[in-house]
Amino acid sequence: MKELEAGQMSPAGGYAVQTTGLTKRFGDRVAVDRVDLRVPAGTAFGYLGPNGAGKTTLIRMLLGLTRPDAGSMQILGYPLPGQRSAALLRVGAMAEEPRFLDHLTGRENLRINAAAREPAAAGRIEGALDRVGLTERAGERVARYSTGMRQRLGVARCLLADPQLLILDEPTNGLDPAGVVEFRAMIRSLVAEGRTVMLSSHLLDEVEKICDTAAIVDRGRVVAQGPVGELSAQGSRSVVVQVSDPGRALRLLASHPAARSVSEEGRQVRVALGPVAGERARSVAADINRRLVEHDVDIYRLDLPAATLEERFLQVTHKFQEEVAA
Amino acid sequence: MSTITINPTAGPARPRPGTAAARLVSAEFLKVRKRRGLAALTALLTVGAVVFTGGVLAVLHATNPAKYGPAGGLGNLANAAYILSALGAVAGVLVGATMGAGDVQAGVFRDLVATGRSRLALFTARIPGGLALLWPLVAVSWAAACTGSVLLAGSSPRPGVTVMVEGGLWVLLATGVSYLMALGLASLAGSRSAIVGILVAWQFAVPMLVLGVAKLGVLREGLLTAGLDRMMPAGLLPGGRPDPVSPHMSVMLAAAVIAAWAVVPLVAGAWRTCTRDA
Repeated sequence: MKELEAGQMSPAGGYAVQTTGLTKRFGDRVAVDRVDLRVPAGTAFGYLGPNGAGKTTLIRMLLGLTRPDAGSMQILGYPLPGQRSAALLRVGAMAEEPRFLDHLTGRENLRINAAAREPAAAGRIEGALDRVGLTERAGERVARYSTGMRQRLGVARCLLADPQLLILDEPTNGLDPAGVVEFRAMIRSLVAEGRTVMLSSHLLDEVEKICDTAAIVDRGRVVAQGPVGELSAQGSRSVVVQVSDPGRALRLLASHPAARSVSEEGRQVRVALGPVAGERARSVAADINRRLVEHDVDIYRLDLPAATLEERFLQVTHKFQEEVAA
Repeated sequence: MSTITINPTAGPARPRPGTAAARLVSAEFLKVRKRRGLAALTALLTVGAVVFTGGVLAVLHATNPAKYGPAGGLGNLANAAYILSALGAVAGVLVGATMGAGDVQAGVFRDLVATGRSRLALFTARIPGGLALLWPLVAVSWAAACTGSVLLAGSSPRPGVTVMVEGGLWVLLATGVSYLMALGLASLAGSRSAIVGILVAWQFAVPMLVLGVAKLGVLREGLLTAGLDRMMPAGLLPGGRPDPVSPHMSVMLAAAVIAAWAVVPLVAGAWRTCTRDA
């Protein structure tokens, strides 16, 4: 994994979010455990973890909604909680499911939020509504909004800050498939404008499709962090071969130095390789091919499935390990 | 990096002039005035109560003048002040509790905190925000009561301008204190309904019981009701003398009691707002 270097805190070219040793306990339970997080500015960053891993708690600490028990944090170069107002001035955040005053219209809800921001925020209301496609329904009471519309209104509320950093907690919850696709495009367009998006999610697919970099969190701890491509490449890979004599192939490949385990699945043999990336994986596959051919085993098909973030995620999170142990 | 100029000129919303505090107060007023049920109930408990009472008295007088006196005059203005102070205080509790706990219960408090605005500023804005709904209605009610007391005085003594002004200020004080108590306590508890229930029960039941127990002596002077009664304009009291329950209470003590009932809950509410997990 390419280690992201701690360095300048300037949001331009530095880190939009940086935490060091951030810890939060609820009684005996440690919800966030010494988290060192680096969110590169100008990227879409995925904060990925199973339910209950401490994702929302970390976001709540960043936004000043709850206090950490230990550690330090900075947003856009400003230390928290010392310079909270300055830090959050250009932050738009959606923590947990978006909530609104149901007796007010969508536009009025944005007015309420804009009033707590700088004077210019009120001037961004119509543009924000337009961007999330809610202009025509903005005059209706929020009580009549669907879950998806509330989600969009939540994003519009984030945009009132003219944000350099958007913090979105499980933002696609409640969106229909078309809404999810639309949402992904919007996130990418925001990143293309130079903004940073920090996206918390338990959906691997979502993070893989939207984010440039990611951190995987498990039981309050960051267990892996880096560019999504590199994280994926660290996942276990396997070579699957369809052969004339699976039993013989099994014996031949069991002694291969790159093989972690070999299993027979009908006429197929699966060779689990462990974390090997790109060229090295292809080289191992070629070597397996050569070894079988040299021993007169006919090969009908050889697959090297692409590494996925899911495999890496399952490797480093406890749920998978517990399942394996069981 | 580019800045989000999300069509700044589009639509009706423009940056509003005024200080940050004024914008927050305006937002708080928007929240409460758009609660139509609450606004209607507040109007009913203030304007509605005065108009209804005056109307009934006027009808009774018109149908049987020998038995029922005129609907106006100083005596009926004093009655209106009592009615308005009691029902207006209930309205104050309803509005105050809504302002205090509304954001937390709706789940939007966290979004306001996440803007970076100080929690104390968010809390402070609630004070004038709710009074902006309550006090105009109380003022209109009192104006109606004064008008009726003059126009329908008949042979009864008419109230002077001084007593009308003093009475108006007293009614505003009585309703305002209830509002502030409810605001503070609801901010502290984070629950509207519980505080409404407790304060309305307190408003109607406890003072009656406690003031009636003579053995409690000067302890009764610690009640908000005792302080407010002492501060009631002399011109509106029967015979122009202080309330017989607390005849020796000084004006300074009465002012201190009233201030304590308003300030202590407010400070507690502000503290909780600043420290609670949003």
